[in-house]
Amino acid sequence: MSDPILLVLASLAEGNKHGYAMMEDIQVFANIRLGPGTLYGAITRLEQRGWIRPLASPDRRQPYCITAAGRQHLAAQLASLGQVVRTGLARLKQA
Amino acid sequence: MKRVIRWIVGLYPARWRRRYGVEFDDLLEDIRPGWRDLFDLLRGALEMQIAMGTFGKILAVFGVSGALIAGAVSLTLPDRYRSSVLVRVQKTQGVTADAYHSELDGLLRDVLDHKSLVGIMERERLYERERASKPVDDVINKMRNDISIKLMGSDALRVSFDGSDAARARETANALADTLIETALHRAEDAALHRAEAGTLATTILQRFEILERPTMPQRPVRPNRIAMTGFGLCAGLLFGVFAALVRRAPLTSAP
Repeated sequence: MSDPILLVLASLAEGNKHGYAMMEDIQVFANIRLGPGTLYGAITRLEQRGWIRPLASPDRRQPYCITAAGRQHLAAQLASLGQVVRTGLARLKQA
Repeated sequence: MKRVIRWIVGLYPARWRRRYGVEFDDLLEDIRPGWRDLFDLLRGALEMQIAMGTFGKILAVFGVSGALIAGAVSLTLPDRYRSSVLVRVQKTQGVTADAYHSELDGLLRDVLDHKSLVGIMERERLYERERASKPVDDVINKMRNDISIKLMGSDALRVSFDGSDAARARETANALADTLIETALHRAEDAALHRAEAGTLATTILQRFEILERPTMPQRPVRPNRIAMTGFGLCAGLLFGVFAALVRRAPLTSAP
């Protein structure tokens, strides 16, 4: 799973985060370091699609939260991925 | 590095920078970007330009990106130095041009044959890494590609060798010229012996061999031509830019 959109949604599913916190979190749970251009490309598209939204913040760091539509999309994508993972593992056991 | 990053961030569309500029700058300060991040930022700028930029901006960003990428690639290519020797190979008076050219063809075949090149390779310690890992015929072919022998005027040959080391290129060009003269002398002696045995009075085809210009140490590499490569990258980037602008997706709506 290396799609930046899914990685950002998965990170925000745990709680609200700003860009740097998302990068750190994704590095820990997926062992993938998203570059700043890739991360903000994903944030731009996610916000445009209404899957995340910015939260009010007193400082320069802008936190984001996942929306209900974002959760729905993430759940659908993960279910599909889960099916692929289960099938792949079962086939590996049979081989 | 900071200046380059600022410059690349400036390639993002103004509308995008107005919305995300402050938080993006903040992130860049937190992560202290490396070289890999430069290309990631460049890719991000291209992506946002395609989504939000004007036709002119898309062209400019693609052109600059193409030039930067080609320039970076050109820096990874090793320098190649060329050294040349001018050798006089005069034909005997009365010998026809066809006979002269045919004798030169035979001479060059002998100079560039397997045994001759392996001898030069071993003496000059060329292609040591390749010789350790590849079949000798492949290395010989590589050496032939690095050698150029051209007829200059009516009676001279320019022998050139391209190598990754300037001093070694000069020594190899010298060795090739020496081999050329030795081989020409051997061929003339063999031909004379053959004629004596056959009892014919035919004249020798080549009569005078000498080095007219010894090679000087190459000061600058002949390859890669980094300016030409960067220019090519610029043109290719502009072409891609036109393509991207024509097929781009619907622009993103303005962020709140």
